Amino acid sequence: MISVFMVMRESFLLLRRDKIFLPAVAAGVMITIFANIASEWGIEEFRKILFDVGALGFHLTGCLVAIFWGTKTVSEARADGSLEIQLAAPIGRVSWLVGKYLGLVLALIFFWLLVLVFWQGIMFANDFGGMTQPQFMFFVFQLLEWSLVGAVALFYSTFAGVTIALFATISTWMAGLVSMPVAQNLPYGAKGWAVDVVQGLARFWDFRQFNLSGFATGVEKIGPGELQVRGVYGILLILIIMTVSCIFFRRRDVLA
Amino acid sequence: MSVAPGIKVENVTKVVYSDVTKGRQTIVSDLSVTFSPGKSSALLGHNGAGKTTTIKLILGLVRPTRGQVSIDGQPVGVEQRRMIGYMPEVNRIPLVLTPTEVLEFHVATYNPPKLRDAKARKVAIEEALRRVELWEHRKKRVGKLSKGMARRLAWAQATIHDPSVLILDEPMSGLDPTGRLAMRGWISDFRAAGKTIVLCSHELATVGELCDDVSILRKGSLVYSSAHEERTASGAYRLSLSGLDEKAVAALRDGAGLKAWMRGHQEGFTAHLVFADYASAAEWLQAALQRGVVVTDFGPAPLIDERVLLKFFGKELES
Repeated sequence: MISVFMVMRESFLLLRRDKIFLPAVAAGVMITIFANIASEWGIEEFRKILFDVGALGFHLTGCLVAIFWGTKTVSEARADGSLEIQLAAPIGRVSWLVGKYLGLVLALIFFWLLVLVFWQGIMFANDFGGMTQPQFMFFVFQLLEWSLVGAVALFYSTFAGVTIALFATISTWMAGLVSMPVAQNLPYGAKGWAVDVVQGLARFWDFRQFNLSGFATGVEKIGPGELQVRGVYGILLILIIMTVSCIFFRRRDVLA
Repeated sequence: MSVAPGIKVENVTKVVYSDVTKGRQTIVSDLSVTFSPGKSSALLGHNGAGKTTTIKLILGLVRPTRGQVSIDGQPVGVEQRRMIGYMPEVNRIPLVLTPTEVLEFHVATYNPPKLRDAKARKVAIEEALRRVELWEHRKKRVGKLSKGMARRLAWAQATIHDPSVLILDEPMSGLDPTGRLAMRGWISDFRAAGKTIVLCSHELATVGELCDDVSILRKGSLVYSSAHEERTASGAYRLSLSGLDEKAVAALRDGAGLKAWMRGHQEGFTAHLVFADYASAAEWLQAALQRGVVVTDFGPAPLIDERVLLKFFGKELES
């Protein structure tokens, strides 16, 4: 446990000092400001515009940061050789990977909190008051999606180089965003087995489960039970991906 | 002084899949080598001979395709790695951390019994940084340090937990003459303390000064091991005699009733001889001087010289 904690601390520190941290925070803040301006330009539904535009930016910025950091954590560590010195220490490979992932999640939470505080500030500035529970849940699910995307990046990084891991993670993330719309819009003439496969994949890999912007603005009603199911779905996906990552990583040689 | 653990590499083969064009490549082939407990051993070889892979096998970073690597009689695992200090050829320290943070993380990861107390840990880190003259730079990020400073930090990192096995891959690389001198001193201290040292280096002077044994790899196989010789390397003496061909040297030996040399070769009319001990070499020296033979060299034999290396490296060195 001590070694997991140490790797997590180091990983968090490395990511917090990473070159993309400040630009990413700045991007998050700028997008919120832009969403605020767009909201003020609207004739009505200011709150909905703020959430729709801001949520998109929040979602994109966070996921991209998670992808870059997730890739950096393992692939770049392998490329610059720091992986070698860390794994030569008395740390099990699984502990190392879990520690790295927890450090990544901690760094994402830190980033999330900074942007969230700014978001709340914008809401106060517009006299929207404090964040409601659905609005807060919207942000919690965004963080869950970032963590999932980070786990995917980590998974690809365990066996691929930086470029391939980046490309594969972005593709997998995009697949999660479009899987359900594709499954729901299959042509009438599609063969039965093809429909089953596409819909099965869409049910397994559906990132729209984490988009609560309609719920946050009151357009969509989601009960507590449904929220729990979506939360457990996200956590289960993370656990599955991390388990597979650990299996791959345990057997991998650390060559130059 | 407690006995440091030994390292045994037994019949190890490592095959890797490089890429589509090269396919499967055997990096290490049926390698058996022992690094004796408490001894300082050099691992030599041309570029691509498999030295770094052998080191990685010992560290458990690479798993053998066949064979076994053991430290202190146990297969390499987390507990065995706790005994090891490792200094890679190239600095592998994250550039955004400070020297203090690097050592803090390192000590916490190894968690040695002596340094479990926070105060003792702090003192050890300060001592280590002062020893490598980085205390003044403790708050600078590693990326801002010079190459030599980073190398000294790598030494501090490899040794702060007081390992009983030290694995050094080209420890002198990137160091200026002062740094090299200091590094030699630090390694000598570890050697004197009876630690097991494995040193990879292309610098024969360093190897000669700091090592008791030499193993040479060629194309992933062991081609020479001084541990197999019937002598201790430190006791061997060299003697060079000018103006004598092979027949004359043999005549001198037979005429004076001298002991045979252990190793020797002829360069024109100069004979280079290596003897197992000082006494044999001294007898030869005396006999040579009495007969008016010009002695061009006499002294402790290097652990290994370039001619021996050339013989074992063969075409790889030329290319």
